[in-house]
Amino acid sequence: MANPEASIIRLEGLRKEFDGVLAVQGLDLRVREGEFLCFLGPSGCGKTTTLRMIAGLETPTAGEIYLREKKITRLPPQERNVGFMFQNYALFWHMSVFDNLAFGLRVRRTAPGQIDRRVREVADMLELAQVLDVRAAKLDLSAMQRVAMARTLAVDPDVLLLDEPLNNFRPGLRERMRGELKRWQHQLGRTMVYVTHDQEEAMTLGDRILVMNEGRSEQLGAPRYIYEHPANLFVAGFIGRPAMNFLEVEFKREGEAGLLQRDGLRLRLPRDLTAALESLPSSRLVLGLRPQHLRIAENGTAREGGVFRAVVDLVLPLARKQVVDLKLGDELIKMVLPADRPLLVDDAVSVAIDADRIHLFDRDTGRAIR
Amino acid sequence: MASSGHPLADTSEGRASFLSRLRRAVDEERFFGTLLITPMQLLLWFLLIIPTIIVIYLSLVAWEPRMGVDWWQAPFAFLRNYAQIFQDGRFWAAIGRSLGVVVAAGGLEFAVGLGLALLFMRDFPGKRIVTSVILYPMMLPWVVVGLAFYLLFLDRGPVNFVLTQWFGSGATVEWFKNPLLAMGTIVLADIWQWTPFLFLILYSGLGALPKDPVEAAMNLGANRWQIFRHVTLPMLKPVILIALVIRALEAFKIFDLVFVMTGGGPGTSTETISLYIYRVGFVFGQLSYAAAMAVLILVMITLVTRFAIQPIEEG
Repeated sequence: MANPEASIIRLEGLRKEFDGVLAVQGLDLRVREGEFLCFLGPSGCGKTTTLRMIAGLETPTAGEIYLREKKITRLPPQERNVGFMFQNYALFWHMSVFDNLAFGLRVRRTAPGQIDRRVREVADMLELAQVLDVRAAKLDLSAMQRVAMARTLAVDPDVLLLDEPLNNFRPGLRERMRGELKRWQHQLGRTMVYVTHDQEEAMTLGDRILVMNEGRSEQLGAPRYIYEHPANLFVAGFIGRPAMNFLEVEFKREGEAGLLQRDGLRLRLPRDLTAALESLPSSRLVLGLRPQHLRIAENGTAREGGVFRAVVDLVLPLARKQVVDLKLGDELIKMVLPADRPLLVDDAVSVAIDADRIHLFDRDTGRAIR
Repeated sequence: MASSGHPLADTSEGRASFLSRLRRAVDEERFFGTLLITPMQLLLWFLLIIPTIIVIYLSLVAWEPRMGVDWWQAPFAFLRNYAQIFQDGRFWAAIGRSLGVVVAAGGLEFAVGLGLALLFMRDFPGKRIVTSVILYPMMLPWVVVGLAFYLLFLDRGPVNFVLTQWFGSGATVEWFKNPLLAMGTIVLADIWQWTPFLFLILYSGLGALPKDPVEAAMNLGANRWQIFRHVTLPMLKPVILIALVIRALEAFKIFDLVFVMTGGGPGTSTETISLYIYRVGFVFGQLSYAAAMAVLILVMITLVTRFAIQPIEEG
């Protein structure tokens, strides 16, 4: 789109309370023109509530919503021109597909000829031309989804808001529909805000992801960036599968080198990181290790990083890799290995940690240090 | 496989077979289901099916209590009773009046009930109390309602009293002496008593509708009237049909209110079909003829109901 920095939707200190329960607590956000933005978070994190406030289906307790810098906070949903796709499609089940698609145009008193043209246009685009006369309730899931999409598109909204539209699909179809969505977005070049609790979905679809938790924004950024640089413990634990391992460690200075220590683990740090950690008030840290970044130590240890000895507790083989649970004292550590490395339960192994692939968090605030 | 096996295994299997067969029979859903509905079936037979058969039999014989023989000894009349119905102007007039009650009372009850139900979709202070007050007329026996409205509309009753207070001493209306007004008071009493029923069904029907199609319509730009007309009302259609069918059946059979308030008068101008059948049977003593009319009504109602419920069954 013309200017990638131009924001089409802007949220300012958006808050929502339901009978004293805080659903969204002070959200600031700029949605860029033409982007595919995913709201990602566990259920009850306020992502759907936020989406519904943008569409005008909920009234914010406080804060403002702008669409193209025009304040729409108190505008009724009818006057926003923001398309909303519901989780269960919310089709008009008693109407034919044609009437569903024409609904938005008819209530706007569009000329019949124009309605007919526009309906056929969106029906062609979403492959609904064959079922225009079928009653909505009789369609299959994927067609319902396309009708919901087409119905929203028919009135040419400024933004499309999608509330977990793939939730009802079985896994195989779900992946296919994910591809469809991505294709539509390219085709339509339209701004989309997409709510999901499925991180894979967010990672594949989103240009950017807003990770939410307990009504707050935890991090906003490109999928890859969020994966590689999680801003805090919540994001680090939520993004990536299997989830990141967390170990409580103490930072110590030993001569020139900095060390991270706990029972059964000593990790030597590079100089720059040592310097950074020294300037911190607390030495109580959380070490984050992605299961994919651990490897079995062959002979000799690296100069930086460390090796720990652990016992194999469980092996979950997948097609080309395996997920291995390791016991380190009382902690379970997950590790992903290629499938061709044979491991048995109760094997003792040495696991190597590369110092440049670790994540560190402040144990008190949960914020990422690195 | 050869029939070798262990001898012990054979006997144990033989002993178990009766018990396990019994258990299987009990487990089998159909058997258990039949067992459960048997008492209800018996009740149904005694209350409904046997009396119906007797009425049908009665309608085919020529029997009046004053003949001095028991009804099962009466001579067969075959379809003569039915033939008589078609020449009975009073019968068809009564049918017409009953239909009039259905249309007038049913229609107004539906309109008011739906209006109330829509009003009650929104919260307002005192809603629960108002709800129970609205439902109160439904809990009254018909006779009480009939009596209350009879007393209200008496020549020197409260309604006329209020009228004279407003419009002067000449403004009394003889409600029960004018055929149309008499019918009006009956319909009014019926509306007063049965609007709550339609309100209740429509209100719970509205409450059970999914919210998101309405929200989708809002999102697509529809105003309140458009949403009501094109989304809410069609979704409510099955509930509306059921409510109307139930109410129409009841209203068609209206008896108590007429019996108490006008006795069918003045003349026969408010005589509904139930009242007429009652009179033919128990006042004029022509039980066979009354039975024939009752059977004909039953057939007509059954046909109309089937027809009315068809759209619901088709989904």
